[in-house]
Amino acid sequence: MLEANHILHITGAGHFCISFIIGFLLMMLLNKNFSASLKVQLYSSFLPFLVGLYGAAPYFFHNGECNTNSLYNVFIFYSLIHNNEFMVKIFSNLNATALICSVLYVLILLRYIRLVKYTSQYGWPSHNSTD
Amino acid sequence: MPAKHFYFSIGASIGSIAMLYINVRKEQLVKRFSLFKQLEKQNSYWYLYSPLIIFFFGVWGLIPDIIHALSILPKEVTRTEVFNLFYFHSYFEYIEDTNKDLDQILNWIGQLILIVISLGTIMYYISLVNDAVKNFSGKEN
Repeated sequence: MLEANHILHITGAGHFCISFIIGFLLMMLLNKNFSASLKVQLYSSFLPFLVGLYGAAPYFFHNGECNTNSLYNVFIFYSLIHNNEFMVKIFSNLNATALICSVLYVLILLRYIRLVKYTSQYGWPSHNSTD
Repeated sequence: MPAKHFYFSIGASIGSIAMLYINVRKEQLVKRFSLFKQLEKQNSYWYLYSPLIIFFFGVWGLIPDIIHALSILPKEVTRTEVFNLFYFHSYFEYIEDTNKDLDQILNWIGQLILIVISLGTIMYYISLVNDAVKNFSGKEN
């Protein structure tokens, strides 16, 4: 594994991780604001994956080059963070990005486990329908 | 070499099959085997933690890399035939030297497998929640 100061940009995995984190935070926001909706509780977990793929999409187009088109900023500030020293230091390490994504994924699964236990005992408050 | 996630994905695939089998047959397993009887006694929701099997099967494939990363054995040793026990680790390492294109394809396959298993596990839990809500509504009526 190269030291961070030898790496000049973030790879696709790093961009995926950053976007996955953002998607995870959005998911938590949705779950909190729509706590009565079973559909939101069930399907919001796909948001980190969708946002992650969206944020990493430009990596497939520019093939990992250092300099990227500023239009890529539409993909969650892709160009802005691609060469940012601080971001490169954290997210260029594949082991770190794998660990972060794994931990967040486990948190998602633990939430589902709690949901299964809860619905087994109490059903779902909105007259037991999946609204 | 095929990246580490490739080896993890092979194990995860096997673990997923094992997990599916356990979940489909959990009533029969609880009746027939004392291990599952004990699990049922300890926690009636034991099957919710069955995706852990996927993780353990996946980690088995990472053992040669862990051994090398901890400097327990050098790469030359972890590439010997005995390490084929870990999902044909040595054979795939040989591919790194001889076929770069196939190496890249294997990495993509590994990524695809992990995405499918990740999303599949989420869908498994979603189906459990929907079943729980349906069964609860059935009981109330």
